[in-house]
Amino acid sequence: MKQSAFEIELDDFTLARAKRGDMAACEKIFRMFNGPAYSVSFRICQCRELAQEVTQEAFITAFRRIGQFRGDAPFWGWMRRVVINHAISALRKLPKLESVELQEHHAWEHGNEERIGLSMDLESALASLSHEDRTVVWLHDVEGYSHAEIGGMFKKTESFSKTRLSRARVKLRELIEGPTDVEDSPRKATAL
Amino acid sequence: MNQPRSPQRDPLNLSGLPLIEPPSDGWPIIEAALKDAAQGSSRRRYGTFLAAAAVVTLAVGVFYQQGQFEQEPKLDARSTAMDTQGPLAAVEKSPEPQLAMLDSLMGMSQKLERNLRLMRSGVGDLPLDSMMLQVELQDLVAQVDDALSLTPDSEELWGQRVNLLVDLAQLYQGQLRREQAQLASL
Repeated sequence: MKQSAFEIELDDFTLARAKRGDMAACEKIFRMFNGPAYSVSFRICQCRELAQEVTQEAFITAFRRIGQFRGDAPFWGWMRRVVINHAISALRKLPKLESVELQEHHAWEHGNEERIGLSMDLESALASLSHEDRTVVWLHDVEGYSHAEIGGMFKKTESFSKTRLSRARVKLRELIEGPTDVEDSPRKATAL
Repeated sequence: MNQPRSPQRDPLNLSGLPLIEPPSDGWPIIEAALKDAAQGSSRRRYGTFLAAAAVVTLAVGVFYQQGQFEQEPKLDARSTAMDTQGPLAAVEKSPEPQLAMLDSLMGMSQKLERNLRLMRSGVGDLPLDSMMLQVELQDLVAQVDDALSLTPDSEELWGQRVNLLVDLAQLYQGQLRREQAQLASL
């Protein structure tokens, strides 16, 4: 079963040309992986401009260091790791004020949803998680990384990843399914 | 859209969310950066000189601030990083020197990034020599960021990043002072 959108096979000829600095080969690789790279960057950063910046920087890093790719694992895995490292690094560099503003904004949205008793769609619910919770749940559930690998990416322990994943899933469920303990919510009223 | 994964692995079916399309073609920027890197060895040598100059500036700044802090009440390293005016202030007073230093450097980097955004929006066109210096510094910041993406907890790299951002801030401050002087003379 295909696990990640990154799972695209790269032929050895293109890889060898890219290692020699052939721009056409680099462009071919960019075209192959740009969509998945941007998509995962956006899922982590939740900001189109930042995701674009992260994606571009990740490709520049990848092409500068492509000679270091040993070929003992698929190229897409190496490329994906470069993109994710850049995205996590970008989050750490964000001014704290912006993170707070974003969380406050989402908190307001969240409270509003609860107040009027509606459920969020999955996309909005994912966006309302904290950066770390969202990144962990995405890397585990969609990209298929293990807890040990995710903990390593954040320079933390395996249990950090497990805790974050558990918390993120609970929060997502609450947001998607809506409040269940409100007696007179509009949805229940309709059902009755 | 990705293939759905097993319900145990992906119980909320996040992998069912669609791929998000990039808003524009990023290849021209990447191509330009790669060509620039290939041709830029001499620029990098000049950049290394600038980085060395930045380190000297930082060392002088830290020395100066140490003198000031000896006469002031001791502050917590984290609050120092966030609250004081000087970007180098957070280097001081830490119970766990290495971790606190890394934390302080990240805090300084964040604060400088925020200040630089404000400065960029407030400053007019830079003169040519300043613009060249700005490009060099930004290029060096990008190189440090590349290295940080592989070793995100490197104190040395975060220190270099802060040094470069301080230099950029000084560049903009100089320009702002020049613009204010011009306005005052009118």
